[in-house]
Amino acid sequence: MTAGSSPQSELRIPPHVSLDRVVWFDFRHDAGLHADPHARLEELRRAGPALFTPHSRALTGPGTWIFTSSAAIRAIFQDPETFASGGVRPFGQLIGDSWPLIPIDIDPPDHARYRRVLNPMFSPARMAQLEPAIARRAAEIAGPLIARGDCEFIADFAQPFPVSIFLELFGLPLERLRDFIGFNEAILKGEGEAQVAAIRGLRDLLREEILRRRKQPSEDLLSELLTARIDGRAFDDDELTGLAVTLFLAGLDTVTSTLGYMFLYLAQAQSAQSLLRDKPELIGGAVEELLRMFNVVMTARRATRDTVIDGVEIRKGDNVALPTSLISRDPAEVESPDEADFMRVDNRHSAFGYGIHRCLGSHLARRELGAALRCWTSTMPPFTKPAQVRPVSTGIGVFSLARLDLTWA
Amino acid sequence: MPIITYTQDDGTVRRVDAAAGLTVMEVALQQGVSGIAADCGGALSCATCHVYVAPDWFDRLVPASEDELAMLEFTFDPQPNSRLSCQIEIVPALDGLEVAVPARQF
Repeated sequence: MTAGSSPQSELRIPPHVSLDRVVWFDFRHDAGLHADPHARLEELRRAGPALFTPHSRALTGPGTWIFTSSAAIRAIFQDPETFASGGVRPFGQLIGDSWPLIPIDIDPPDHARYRRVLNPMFSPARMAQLEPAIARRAAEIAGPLIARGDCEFIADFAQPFPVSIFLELFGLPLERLRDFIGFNEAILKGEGEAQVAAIRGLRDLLREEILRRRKQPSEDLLSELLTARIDGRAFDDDELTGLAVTLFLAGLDTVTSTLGYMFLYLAQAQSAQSLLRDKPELIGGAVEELLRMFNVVMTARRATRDTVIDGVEIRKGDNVALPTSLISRDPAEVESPDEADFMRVDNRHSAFGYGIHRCLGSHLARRELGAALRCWTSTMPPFTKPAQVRPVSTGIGVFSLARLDLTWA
Repeated sequence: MPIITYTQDDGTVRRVDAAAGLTVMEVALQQGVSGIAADCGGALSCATCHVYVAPDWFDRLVPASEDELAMLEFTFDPQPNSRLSCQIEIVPALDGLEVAVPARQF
């Protein structure tokens, strides 16, 4: 048994689950998932449309349904009354607080009220204004690496690039970048005391920053949250904490993770890399295609009532994991789903999720990913990955590469 | 069956039969109209099924809800005749509706 996991004897198959649905898929320790999460999810697709693992995807609790058909995953995303998000990520509760993650753990009807306030803060028009600054930041971080001839792409670029942009948007001190990345890793990938300490540390830090802005407002998003109005009133302290923690966790991790898989792909597919060097006009299409191929999120819901999906009986309280990669790579919907085609027309993917909780920050993410591809295929030498190093993925709700070594001549 | 005309950004005009009860977004996806992403599937969280409604038709539609109006600000290039196509339900009275697909959704 690995430290922190449930002993096998505690894992139970509830009576309403038919045994032929059961797979012993351990979200935390599955070797296939760590070797190649997207290929492993395709294996699950081949195992059947509705699977049940006695392992919990969440911190605690019973086993988890995993639906593998696009239709079922979409149906669950589209029915937040039956498949709720409330309480799925109880980080506040873990430290004895009452704030939920807002808006990701908020259900209708309140969810729409929060999104209405947040959407304009991440609108395409506002994010487009950031484009020059984003391109500049990519060049500043990648430039000094050229002379080295190699890098560990995750720590040297994929983390500092989006995280520094996010910290700037939030008005958080850039010199503490490594501390912030540490909090994020411990909260999303850690367990036990280290995780609890990180949640507390992040909460205290964000509350301190909020307090500072109450006294002296500035131009950043945290200040904007303080002056925002919901139903004619200001956010209360719990709401501000829940909002700030959520934006922080969502903003720090997902672009880093996506960059890792995109660049692993480009390091191995030299022809795709040189295509982008020769035809930079394909970068927009490449961002969408690589987003489609490398969905990094496997989110979750909890059933609020008994229901039936795909002929399978779900009981109130059951947990459901939703691997969007299985929509984005569904051979029934996408021609040659495992082949990258930067010229794919009407490339509809679910990298940003589906339904009411679809990613708020997608317009920022798309611009960051585009700037990274543009920078690395215009100013950096052609890069490869040492053949002997096998990439390892980590993560439960968000997959990411633990490291990615790149070299160039 | 009502007929809806979509003008794609490349100038292609698509006249398609639209079953009542579906939305203008759903028909576009079914019929392969290019340029409507509909990332969230009609849940009012992405604003990537944005269309411009022909001026003659704009006032004949059921007006946008407050939630839709808020999301319209989230589109790439909102105009006075902007709507989210997932919020326009097809009814017989909309036979002949004309919409234009914007150059980009994000």
